[in-house]
Order: sequence, then structure tokens, then C-alpha cells
Amino acid sequence: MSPPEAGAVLCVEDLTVLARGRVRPVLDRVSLAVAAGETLGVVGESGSGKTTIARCIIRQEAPLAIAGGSIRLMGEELAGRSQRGMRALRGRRLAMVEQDPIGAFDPLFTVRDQIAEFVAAHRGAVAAAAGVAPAEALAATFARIEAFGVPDAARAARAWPHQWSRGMLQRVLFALATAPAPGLLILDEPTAALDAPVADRLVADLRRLARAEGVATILITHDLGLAATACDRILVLRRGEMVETGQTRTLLGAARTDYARALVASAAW
Amino acid sequence: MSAPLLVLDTLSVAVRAPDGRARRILEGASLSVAPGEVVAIVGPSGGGKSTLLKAVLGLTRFTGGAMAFEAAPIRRPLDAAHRRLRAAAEAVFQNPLGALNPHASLRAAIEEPLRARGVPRAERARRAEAVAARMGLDTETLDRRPGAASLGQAQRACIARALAPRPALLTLDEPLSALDALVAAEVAALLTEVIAETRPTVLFVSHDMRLVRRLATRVVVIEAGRIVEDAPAERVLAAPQSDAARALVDCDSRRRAAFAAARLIEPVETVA
Repeated sequence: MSPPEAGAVLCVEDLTVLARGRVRPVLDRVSLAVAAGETLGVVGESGSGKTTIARCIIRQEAPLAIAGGSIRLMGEELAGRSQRGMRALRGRRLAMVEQDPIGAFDPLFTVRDQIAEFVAAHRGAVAAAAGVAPAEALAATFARIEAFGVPDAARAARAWPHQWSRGMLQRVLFALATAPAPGLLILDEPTAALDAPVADRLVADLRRLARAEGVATILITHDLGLAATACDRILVLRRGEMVETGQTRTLLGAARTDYARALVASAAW
Repeated sequence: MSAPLLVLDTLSVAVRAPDGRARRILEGASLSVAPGEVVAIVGPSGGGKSTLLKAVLGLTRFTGGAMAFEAAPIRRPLDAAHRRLRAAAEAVFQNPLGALNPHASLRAAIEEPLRARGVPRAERARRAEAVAARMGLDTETLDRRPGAASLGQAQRACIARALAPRPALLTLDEPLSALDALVAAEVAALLTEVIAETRPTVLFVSHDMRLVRRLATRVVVIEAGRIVEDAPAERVLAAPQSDAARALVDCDSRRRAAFAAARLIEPVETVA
């Protein structure tokens, strides 16, 4: 049961992360790979290191430090890359959506302003992905947001973020994150602020799209019920160490470790 | 059918929004709860679930309608009958650390409602330890302050505190949602057991349909401030009528189907 290293969009090997003043690593030799169109779930309890993996991949791990291992995105090494070098990749080659959509928007600008700013920053990639001329990128993005279940998006976006519901803002973020056709999409507890039915629908929409467009997706969640319905494979993390990884159904039904079995049992009732 | 313990009669809660207009958070909620019933209140976020609990407990002033507790009418917030309800009720909240005095031990927290009811010291200590033991808290843990306890221990102490005086009415507002999965499953199991043993009348808010399936005898669905469905739990779970209930039941069924496919639980019966 080796991970699909060949053809993987993202390949993390032996990633080790240290925190200043702590002997025990925050992540200890964690390896994972995600292929195009595949969704990998990363599950574990609070403090297991789930979010640290995401932060390392987008290289915003500071004040933690990557002490070893490699992070290759489409063959390119990210572990030693400069912040300037990362800026060229973020948004375009890899994208991340986090838990709190309210926190992702500046409260002093309308939603429309922020959508326009994103499109301006990634105009070429957004236009190419949508198959339109650069001048049409904004209109295409609003169409994409509507396809994510936001009715009359261009009009609604004239409002301020606080006038929007969390679920609707999160839809906007999903649409934006995937608009430049990034190879890798990281979702860090993307639905923790949402009701379960809203969360399920959103993740199902996203998964359909990720498969159709060949996006490799990492879904970080403490909700094994969500991972069970939304992921192809699941990685179980505990206190910075990999416990087990496997196909979703295998991991749910025939976990090899006591911890993974306990975690699964704690969700299936 | 025994006489109702608690009646809500077109209960409303309105607050004044910053623009000066009244905004109704709860609108015309009517509900009658018989002794021993375990009522789950479910529905989308922001719909008024927690507000209903708070209005019952007098933590939010109701602005319209009335209630009755043990047949005594409650006409205004915190009138004499409402104060009697408060004295007879205990509450468990979502975040145990916010619900416990950080300077007091878990033991002192659990003894507090007994002290308030005038239970003598020796009796207090005995009952507190007994109910704490039932919730899996040993004497060493009881001497800890909330900050030195785990979140799961703190929530188990909150449940023990609520159960210690054998309240006529127990309310729980999202009792599992601050807890990690392993801890939540453990607390859910204990909660299920103690409710089956002590049979209090329960009003609980949860978005977790697993807990609803386990505990509830009846399900009340609230959406946009209104009760849109109110029926025995089996009926709502098997054949939900409102969109909000259907969404919750479908979502739960999908998860159970995934678990059933891995033979973790019994196959799920399909929802009509």
C-alpha cells in the first residue's frame, strides 16, 4: 500500500518540524503524496500537527522551523524556497482555504473589491483556466462563484463581508481558490464554522470539481465523518507522527493500529 | 400523558438592532414538555436554538408570549414562577472552561448547586463524589482546578454538577462540540447512560445527529426563529418533514452509509 508517488502533484517526504525551546518535534518524519484529482484526508485530534503540515506546504510555518525532509510540488522543491519564490506559486500553483471565512476577508472593503483584487493579481491564470480573454476574467470569476451556489453573485458582492453568511463567503473562497486552476488545493477545517448539511454540500461540490479539473486536494479535518464521505485516502496523525495511512474504506473498516481504530470508533456511532 | 413540566406559549425574543429596529430571534415558539421527555432542538446556525434555551433559563429576556413551569404561569421574565424554574433547572454549556470558576476545584464546582439548595456538608461531599465517579472523575481529578484538567474532564465535571442536585429540568447547549472526537464519544456515552439512569427532563441543543439519535425522545426543529417541526424522534429521523430536518437527516445518513460500507455500524435504513 504505497502512496501514489509516481505522478503525484505533491510529494512530502520525512517532513520534520521543530518549535523553538521544545525537544519533541511538532512533526516527526511525516510523508504523504497526493495525485491529480485525488482527495487526501488528514485527520487527528487537536495538536496532532494537521495544520502545521498545511502551513509548511504553503511555507508560512514561522515561527516553527522545517528541520528536515522535502516538499515537492510538481517536482519543484519548496522546503528551501524563499518567500519571494513562494509568492509566485501561492494562489496560482497552490491554494489554501481555512476555517474562518470571516477572517479571510478585510472588513473594510466590499466582497466585490476583494474578488476584483484577487482576479487582478492572478488575471492571466484565471483567464486561461476559464478559457476567456484577460478582460473577461472578472466576469468569468463571478460566473464561477455562482456555479458554487451563490445566486446573483456580482450584485450580492457589493455588500460588505459582515453582511454575508459564513457559508456564502466560504463558497466565494472556494471559487476563488480554484479559479486559477492550482495543481494543489489545501482545505484546513474548511467547514468547521458551517452547519453539517452546508458543509457536506460544499465539500461534495468541491470534490466533483477537483476531480473534473484534476486538482490534488488535501482536506484537513477533525471530523472523521466528513473525511469518510469526502476523501479517497486518509492519513491519521497523532502528536506529530503518522499513525497510519490508507484507502478510506480500508482505513475505516480495517485499520491496523489501535489508535486509528479508536479514532474511527469514536466517530462511527 | 402526564401534566406538562414546561410549557412555552408563543414565546418570542426580540432584540433591538444597532439601526434601532427590533429583530425577532425567536418568534411564537410553542412547546409542551412532559416530565421525562428528552427534547432535542436542532436546526441551522443562527435559527434561534440557543436563544430558546436561554429564554427558558432566564439568561435572555423573552419579549412576547408566556411560559408555565409545573403548572405555574410565567408571565414576565424572572417573575416568581420563572425564578422557581431557575432554581429547579441546571444547565450544561458548550465550552466547559467558560462555565467553570477558574479558581475553584472541580469538586467545589460540583458541590455548588447542592450548597445552593442547602444540602448539609457531609451529604454534599458524598453526593458530589458519587455523581463525579459516575462521570468517571476520580478524587484526585476532583481536586484540580479547571485549568489543570483536560477539556473532557472539565465537561464531565459540568455534567456532574448539573446532575448532582437531581434537577427537574436539565438543559444542554451543544455539550460535545468543544471536544475532540475521542473525548466527545466518551462524554456522549456517559451522558447517555446517566440520562437513562436518572431520567431527568432534558432540553438539549445539538447539531450532532448522532447525539440526537442516541438521546432524544422528541425532536424540535427551529429555523429562522420559528419551530418548523415537532415530532417524536423516531418519526423525524425516519421521515423528516421540514427542509431543515431533511438536510440534517440526509447528512447523517451519508456518514452512516460510509461507516456501514466499512462494516463499522449496522447498515443504514434508507430514508423515505
